[in-house]
Amino acid sequence: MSAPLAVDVLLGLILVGLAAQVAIGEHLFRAIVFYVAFGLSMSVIWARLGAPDLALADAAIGAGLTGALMMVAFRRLVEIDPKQAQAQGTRSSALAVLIGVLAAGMVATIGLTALTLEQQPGRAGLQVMETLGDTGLGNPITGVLLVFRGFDTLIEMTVLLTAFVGSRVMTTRSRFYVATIAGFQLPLVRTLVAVILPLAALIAMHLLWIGSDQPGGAFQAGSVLAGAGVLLLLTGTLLPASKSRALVRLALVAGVASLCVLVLAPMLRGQVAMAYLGRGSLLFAEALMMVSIATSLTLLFAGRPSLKVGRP
Amino acid sequence: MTDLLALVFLLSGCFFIFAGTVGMIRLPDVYCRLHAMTKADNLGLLLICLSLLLLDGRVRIALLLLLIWLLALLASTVSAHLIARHSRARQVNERDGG
Amino acid sequence: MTSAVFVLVAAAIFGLGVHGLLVSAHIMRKLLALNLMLSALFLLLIVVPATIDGRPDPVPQALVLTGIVIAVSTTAFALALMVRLFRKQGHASIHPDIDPRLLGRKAPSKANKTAQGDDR
Repeated sequence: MSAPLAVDVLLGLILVGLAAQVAIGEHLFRAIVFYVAFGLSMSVIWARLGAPDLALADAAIGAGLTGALMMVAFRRLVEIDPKQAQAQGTRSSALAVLIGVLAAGMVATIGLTALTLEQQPGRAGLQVMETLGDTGLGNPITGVLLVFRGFDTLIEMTVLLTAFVGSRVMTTRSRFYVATIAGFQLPLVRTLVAVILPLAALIAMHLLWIGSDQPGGAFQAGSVLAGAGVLLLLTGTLLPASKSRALVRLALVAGVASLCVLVLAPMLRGQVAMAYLGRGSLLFAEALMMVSIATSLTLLFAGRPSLKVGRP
Repeated sequence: MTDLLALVFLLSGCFFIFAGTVGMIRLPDVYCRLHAMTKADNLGLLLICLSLLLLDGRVRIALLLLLIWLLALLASTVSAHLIARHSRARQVNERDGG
Repeated sequence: MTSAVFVLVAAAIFGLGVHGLLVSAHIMRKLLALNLMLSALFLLLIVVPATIDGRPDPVPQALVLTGIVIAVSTTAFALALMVRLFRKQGHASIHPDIDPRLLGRKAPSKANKTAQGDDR
């Protein structure tokens, strides 16, 4: 009884220490690196709490992709003006510390009070677990995401698309940093791409397929593919291109479109909007969502609306 | 018996990773730190994977753990090579630190 | 008992995030602090609800998964905004009344004291 508690306290201390380095650390780049470490520690916490889908998603998206996006943005700042990019400027005051402490106290009070009150499982959760057998799925999270609360997922994919459109509007056409670190000429890098790319595709397909019954799903698969896309951009296999292509546009809207199909198709058959149509329909929607997530995140990293193949 | 062996592997794996981290913090320049990070950490990861393999016992899990170790090995190898190349190109001297 | 530990951890991370948000002038540090606050709230959302059959409640888990994706979307958009702002005004701060000496520039003279405010 006390041994797991010691592990949890240790994990918690590590997490708070990393968060302190992110929030109060000196150099900005250090803060970004510590944020990636913080995200990976959160992934360990999710595994400890018994939420493997969250562990997969947080490791890939929360730690990996967010860290990569921040590093690329930092590098773009440095390219424009090296000195101003790292100018720190803090307005530290006792009032800010007090507000931080009060915020922590508020969250602690809410959490601890809710812990002492919430002894019953939530009704929504119980209802999900009871009717999960009717849907034919084994993974309750996929069930909640696509069957029970499908509209939330539709809005989420729309948010991702909107973020991409918004950042596409913001990028100018002049003097732009291309995130290529090493040429494709290095045999070691060539081997890395040759090994990682098929493996990433295989793992993404596997996560997509078993997401219906076991931890996995479209988001984790899409983020694995996005990681492979980031690798391709870093090694120069893919390069950002300004002229947007129809295929890329199709890939971006495929996720939202497939969920709209899921919403509208039952209505054509006389049922309620987004009524459950079977596991095949879920897999169709999840596959297109995976393509959409991978493309959006890779293009957000690239900073340009399209991609072109680099010279091998 | 296998539990004891797994415990030994686990503890020595943790020791190696700890040693690698200490090396990364305390060694003078980037080339030495690369040595510590890649060699010690990969060995530590291998020992931890072996201990988990012994604790679980299924063939599928064993193959997955070895695949994890191989991927980590590949990633750290390429990263270390690129960092060393970049430092060399920027003429980071062995005595300068950095 | 472990839930209480994680609630305190989430509270501490949230407090650190709020402090970092208030204290930092650089937009990217503010974004990092916001992401810390988000992660702390996700932790709270998973730890507090009671478990069902030993596994966490699936509805908050799906909400947190949605939240992670939305967090990365808004972070990416905010980073694009930051780069654009930096290109336009030369520094990555949105405080018009910050002391320029903190940003490495010259101290304001009496003549151009009004020049600090037109960063919009």
